[in-house]
Amino acid sequence: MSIPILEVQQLTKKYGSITAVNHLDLTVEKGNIFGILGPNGSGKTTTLGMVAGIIRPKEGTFRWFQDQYSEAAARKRLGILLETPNFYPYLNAVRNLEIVAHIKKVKQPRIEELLELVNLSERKKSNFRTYSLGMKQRLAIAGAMIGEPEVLIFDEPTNGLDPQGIAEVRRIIQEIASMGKTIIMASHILDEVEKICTHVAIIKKGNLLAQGTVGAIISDDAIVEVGVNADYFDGTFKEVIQAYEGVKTAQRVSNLPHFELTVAKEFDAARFNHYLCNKGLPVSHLVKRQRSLEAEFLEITK
Amino acid sequence: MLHLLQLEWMKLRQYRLFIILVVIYMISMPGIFASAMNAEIDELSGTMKSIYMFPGVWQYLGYLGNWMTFFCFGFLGVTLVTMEYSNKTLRQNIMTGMSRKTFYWSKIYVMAAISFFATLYFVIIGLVYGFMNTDYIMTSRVMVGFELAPRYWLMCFGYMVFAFFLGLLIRRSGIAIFLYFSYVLFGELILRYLVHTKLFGFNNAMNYYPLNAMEDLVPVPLPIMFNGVLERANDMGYNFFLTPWQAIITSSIYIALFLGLGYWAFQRRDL
Repeated sequence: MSIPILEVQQLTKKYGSITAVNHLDLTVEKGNIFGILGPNGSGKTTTLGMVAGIIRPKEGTFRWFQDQYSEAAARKRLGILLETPNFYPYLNAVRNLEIVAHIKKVKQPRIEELLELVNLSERKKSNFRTYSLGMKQRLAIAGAMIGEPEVLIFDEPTNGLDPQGIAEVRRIIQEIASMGKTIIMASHILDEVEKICTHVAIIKKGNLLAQGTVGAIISDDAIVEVGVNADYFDGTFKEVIQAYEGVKTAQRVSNLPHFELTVAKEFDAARFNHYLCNKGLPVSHLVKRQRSLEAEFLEITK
Repeated sequence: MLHLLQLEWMKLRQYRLFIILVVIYMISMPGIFASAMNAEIDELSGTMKSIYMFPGVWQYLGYLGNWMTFFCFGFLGVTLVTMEYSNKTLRQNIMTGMSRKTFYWSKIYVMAAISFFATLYFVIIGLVYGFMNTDYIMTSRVMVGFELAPRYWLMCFGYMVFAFFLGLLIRRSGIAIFLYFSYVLFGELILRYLVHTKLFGFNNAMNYYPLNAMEDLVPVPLPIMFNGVLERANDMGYNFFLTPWQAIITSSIYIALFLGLGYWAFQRRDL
């Protein structure tokens, strides 16, 4: 049974005349590794900022844990890393994590263990200000893990890190995911989402473009490009295509007499060709290819 | 409350500026006060001595404290909040699980606590100097300090709240500190003596500006020779100072106003 952890309804934020987030609906369920994907400036951070309580929405609502707890109490059950790692620069790792634990009222915060997890034990007594960006980011992950939160929110967790740092952070996130926690992660790096997430929402300019399991959005579907000569290209062409079993969507490719179809993985191109011929439509172009998230993303956010 | 004070202590105990300001206060209170003792005003030695005796010690040390709390703890009041903005720890505190309300209260509590310790220190230094220099101890004269202490606390708290309010709204410590000092040192004087007099004339309402009211909680002790001037002004219907109760009530109203407005803005804004 699926238990909703976060339900976002019609969430909207405007900055002056710019709509950063536009009537967004999202549902994250327990155990999801939920990726929010979108180009830079698409409203990912604003969305997470609103559900994290630091940005006030203009319209709409969000509910954590089906409103079982007050807003602040709900946040104590989350571990949030938004944009940059934020700590007191003049305190060391342990002292900073103690502050997090104090706010969350965690009696035994297991700070040493967490520092071990993020590979910071050796530098735990150094002041935060002396850390490299990668170390700061890892400390922030440790901070988010204090009190064993049920849900973790990561915003661009690998942003600005070197390849080694990226690999390290990904390893940590995957490790956390394997503990059965719910993770909400914003990213503009497709590869990252494809590797880590189970669910994905794609947003652009504050609008939700697609939402579902990564499987449903990415790998299960294939793309078929089909084209006929311009002579045969009229209104009935689209109807004929759409009538064929297994065609999910049909989208015309710019001004060409081509359509791009979303089809199931098992779609048989030869049979489809046969079908079109029988309808009196000689195909001049027919390609079937697997979707990658990249293609999907570019397509959706076009 | 204790939980929030503990949190603030965890944040402050290694914060260098906090330590520096506290040390400045702790050294300068007895230090600057003592420096008057060696002043080469032999002919006035009779009056100088009274600075260190009960009850004079309370007024003079109180006035020094007026300046020192304005400087040290006002400064601190600004950075208590701008430091959280610039490190982005304010938003992190909220994300970690504080409500804005509890965050705000944690700052009010810590300012109240710091003012309490500043006052306690003032009382201790006053007692030490008083007992060292007063030949005939009269309880009623010693007790003057304990009557002054609550006002001293309110003054320190008021300076901090005003500074905190500026820091909260402006967010940047440099600009907020500059505004705080310039408002206290000239801004309000300009408002009172130029703007106010131009608009409303020279009257007692001039004394009810926020920082003047807080200053008058522990007013400057004018030597006896000024008594004539004060009386003459009194006769003309003008008072240079608010009475203690006027100062207490006026300051309290401003403190409530600053805290209320700050809270209202803080609840609404994005962090």
